[in-house]
Amino acid sequence: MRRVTLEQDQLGECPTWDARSGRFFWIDVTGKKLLSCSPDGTSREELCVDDYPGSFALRETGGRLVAFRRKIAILDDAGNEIARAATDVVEFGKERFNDGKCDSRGRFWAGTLDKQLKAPIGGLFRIDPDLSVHKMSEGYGISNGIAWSPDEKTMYHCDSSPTNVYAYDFDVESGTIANRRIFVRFDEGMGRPDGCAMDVEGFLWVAAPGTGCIRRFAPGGELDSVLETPSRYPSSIAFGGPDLKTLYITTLVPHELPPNDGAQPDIDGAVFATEVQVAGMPVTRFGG
Amino acid sequence: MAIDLRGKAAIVGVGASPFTRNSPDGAMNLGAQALRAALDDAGATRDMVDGISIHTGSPLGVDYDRFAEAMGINLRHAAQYWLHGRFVTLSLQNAALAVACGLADMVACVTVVKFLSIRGALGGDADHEGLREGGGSHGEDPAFGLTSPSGGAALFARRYFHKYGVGDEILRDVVLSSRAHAARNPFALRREPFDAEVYAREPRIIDPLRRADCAQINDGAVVVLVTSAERAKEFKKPPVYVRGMQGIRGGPDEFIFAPRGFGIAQQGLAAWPAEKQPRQVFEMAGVDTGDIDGFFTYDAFSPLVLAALERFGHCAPGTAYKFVADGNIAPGGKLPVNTSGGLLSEAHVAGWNSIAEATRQLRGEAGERQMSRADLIQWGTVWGDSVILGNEA
Repeated sequence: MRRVTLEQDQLGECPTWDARSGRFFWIDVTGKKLLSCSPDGTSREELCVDDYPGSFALRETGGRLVAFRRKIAILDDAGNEIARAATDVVEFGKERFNDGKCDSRGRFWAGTLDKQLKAPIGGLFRIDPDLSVHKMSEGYGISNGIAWSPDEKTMYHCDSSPTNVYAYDFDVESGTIANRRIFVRFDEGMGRPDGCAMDVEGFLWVAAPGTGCIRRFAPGGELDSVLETPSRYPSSIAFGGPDLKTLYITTLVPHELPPNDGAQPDIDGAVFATEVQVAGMPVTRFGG
Repeated sequence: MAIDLRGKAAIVGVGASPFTRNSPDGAMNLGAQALRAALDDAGATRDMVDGISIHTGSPLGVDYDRFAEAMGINLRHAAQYWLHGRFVTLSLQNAALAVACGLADMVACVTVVKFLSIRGALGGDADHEGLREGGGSHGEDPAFGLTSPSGGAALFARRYFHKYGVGDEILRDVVLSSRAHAARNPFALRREPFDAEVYAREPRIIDPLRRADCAQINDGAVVVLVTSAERAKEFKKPPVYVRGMQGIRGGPDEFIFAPRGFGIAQQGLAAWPAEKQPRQVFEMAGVDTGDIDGFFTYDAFSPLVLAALERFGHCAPGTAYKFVADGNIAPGGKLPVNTSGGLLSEAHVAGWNSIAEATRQLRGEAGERQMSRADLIQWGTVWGDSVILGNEA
């Protein structure tokens, strides 16, 4: 495990490998930054934004789609807003956007969380390349990481409250989901499922902040292995590198915790990476 | 044929959760935090852990099977005990035996307590052991209304006062020493200024014990990682070796909170000469009482410190209170006792917080409260179990 960034974010999230540029991208949610760097952490670039980004995707034609708390916007490479999706189906009075990711057809999926972080009132939305927004499901407390099985027949989706990882039947042609069920329930002591990533063997990797672990689950939901992370607060993961065998890990800085809580002010919030045996699935750019 | 176990096992990692009153975390979360902290301390990963020794199961703590499942660790050796001071080093000794005999490569000694989530756990309706027919596990006599462990400690204290012509000032001195240690520990629950006047204002809980004579009641977890001496050198920190061990005592002459011969409960009044007292822990360790640099004990109640000092020969019978009054167990004293503050002042993690502290002392990483010399530390309790830890095998 190596430390990629000297700098520390407040809430690192949405790690993204860009094969095209060979660079690593991510965001600092509460720091309101869109970030990128070389695989060794050098040539860091920061774009400051005026709202809290929950997630993003690089676009096929350049720039980014960003799911801010209360809007879905298209930004150019310089961070200027050039378009905005009509989000009538989202009730910003009670929910705001959180983590998201593109499926293989370049559709961006993002969920919302209860502003009070309490009730399961969040939704799951699909943003198509034409920037139309579709509500696909609901009933999540803190919607988080999303990933698809290699055969694209299953979509996985983490909820940090209640602490479930859901699976759905996925139809890649129509971009629809059905038959939501609990894939893994994170019982007490396992932490809260946050960001996730899929490998080529169909195993789902899930970051669990609080416990300092990445958990890898077999397609049947059995725990396969546990990877310790230097920070106790890994927030999300992504496979990267030329062979997609580097696991990038974003972390966060915990707040308002008692002493002896495992907070490590010198490393929490940094990005880490480690080489792994199995390659990850590539993540597609946003098609719009 | 006896197997020589001296220095065959070592502590390579200690970790803790926060010690708080009313933690928002459940027992499993507290245990998960402590496990992770211990792994970090050792520079180990959880796939190295293949054994577990649990001090107490649910509902106060965690059960070995569910904990292993949630932590993602695969066990080939598991043990689980009761929540009493007697079982602190029994669970540590089980770990040492397991790694020394090849039953496990690395054993996690796991202790989680959620005292504040169980109403009546100590002397109340939920104290099933304390209320068992024929007398509780601390010598409680529920039929006579003596339902909590503090009752047994109070009986001993009162008897000691009578026997040696002293009063509750001898308990006060134990507490003052404990609070002085805790003042140097940023993780201790009781760090506020404390002196004889404050002690005198403390309310009586059960005569002659005041509130300050009783342990903290809190939530928390400690995990200690034990591996074989050969393997121990592979980890990040210097190993702390298990030099000597002896188990808990029982039988007609034993009362859990008093040395033999005190006549409490079923005990007789026959004297118990020093030459007849078991010295197994010292013999195994190859050391004598005078070689011990610090004495750590289960100080759930202040009188127990006096009894334990006398039981292991650090003080002759009837003299421990003078030893304490002269500052010998306080910071900078000749034989510091429970330098983190122990159960009285740091936290009640069933004594495992003191095992963790002994490890830190022997490694020389106790900071402001580092003992001037810390090569051998003895854990010993009034009920007779003991372990000597050392920084050499």
